[in-house]
Amino acid sequence: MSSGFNRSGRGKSKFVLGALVLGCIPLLVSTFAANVTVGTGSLEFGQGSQQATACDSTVYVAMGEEWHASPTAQDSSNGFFRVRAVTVSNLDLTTCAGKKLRVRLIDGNSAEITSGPTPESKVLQITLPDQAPTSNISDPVMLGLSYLTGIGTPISTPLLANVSLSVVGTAVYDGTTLSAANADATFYLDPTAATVNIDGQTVRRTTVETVNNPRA
Amino acid sequence: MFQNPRTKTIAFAIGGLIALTLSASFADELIPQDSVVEAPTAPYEETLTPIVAPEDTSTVLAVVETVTVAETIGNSPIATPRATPQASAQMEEELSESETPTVEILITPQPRLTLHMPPAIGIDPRSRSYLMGSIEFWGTSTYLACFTGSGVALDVGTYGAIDDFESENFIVQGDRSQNLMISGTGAAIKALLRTPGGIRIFNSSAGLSGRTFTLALTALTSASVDQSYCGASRAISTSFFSPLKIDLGIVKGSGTLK
Repeated sequence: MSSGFNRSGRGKSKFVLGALVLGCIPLLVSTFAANVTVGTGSLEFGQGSQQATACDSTVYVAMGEEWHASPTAQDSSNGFFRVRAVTVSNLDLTTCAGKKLRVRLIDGNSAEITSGPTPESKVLQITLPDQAPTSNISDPVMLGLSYLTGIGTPISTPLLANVSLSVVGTAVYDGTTLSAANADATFYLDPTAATVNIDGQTVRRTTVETVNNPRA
Repeated sequence: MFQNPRTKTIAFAIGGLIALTLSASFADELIPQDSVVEAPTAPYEETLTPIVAPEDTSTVLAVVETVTVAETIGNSPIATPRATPQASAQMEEELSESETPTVEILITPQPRLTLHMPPAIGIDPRSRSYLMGSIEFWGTSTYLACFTGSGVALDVGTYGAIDDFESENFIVQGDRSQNLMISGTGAAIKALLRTPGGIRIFNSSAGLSGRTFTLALTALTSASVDQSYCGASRAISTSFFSPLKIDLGIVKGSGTLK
């Protein structure tokens, strides 16, 4: 027997069902969103990579990290992996002789990351030897290590960084044997880890530039 | 409320869906997303340290030019666990009680171990290998470190050479494979990982981008590479190779117009 009460009850049931379905949607969305999160956030992919157009068409970059403890009252094991060094590998020191080599790090917001003691220190630069060396060089003065602003203006500030130009040993990038045509230039941002401590997770892009003008 | 069986079924189904979703949300909250992995706190139970035979360093000194990195570390003091006097006394006491002593190698329950690895490792998008130096851990004296590569293999020590090694206190097994196990003291394992050769993760046929590898640490009383101990680990961390954007270019000096 059909009655107005039954119809009313069916309508009420549909309303409850509809409310339940609508209530589920945010929960489902949040669950799926949480599942696709990797690490500390979304990761970018390498659409921006391109071959070099400078003195060497096949240089590579390798970033070395190390643990930097930063304990808090709540968490004695707190810390992060700081960028210890940036290595430009497979450098041909014959074709790049006398040129300046610049490295900078860029974060996920396309902002240059400070790599020196002052906020405007955005670029690390060395001058490659006029003649390809036969042994490793780790003298920052000999290699003219310096800080530059983002637009390439030299900064006069004490050096916290160090550098090595290696032609003997094993390449950081791929473990091949080093030579003058396959050299490693490694920039150590702050070997003491006292001042320049960049969280490796913030670096999303690196740039390697060579400068032709010896006066630059 | 639901007199119609069909409506009732739908209501049950939706109720189940809500319960599933809520449990997934709670699970998501409970599972740590961060790279820092700390095993749940468990009371550390003092276990017997086996009596260690005195190390023999003369062999290493005699053939220093031919030993591998693993051998050098394996024969060094850092690879040798120290037996405390109390533990040794206890051990001797137990030995006298029984003719066939059995020493539990796996510490049960596992002590609190801290393991740090970056969740994402920025690499050149063309990289086929990466020298991994960013591993930090502490919490006990002797470990089994189980590395598992997903689409990558692991090479420890001299690159390109199989550095498998076994001594009483330090073992490397599975070098240049997807399943590498290193067992010994924490200092010995760290020393091996931080030698110039270190641990290199590689794929000989394709790039590393998007690949992962996992490290599981298990606390042991003495060095062992019994793979079943890997499963007992409560400190596990995974790193993902994230391709950096790379810009390479040439900069020319400014010129003065006349």
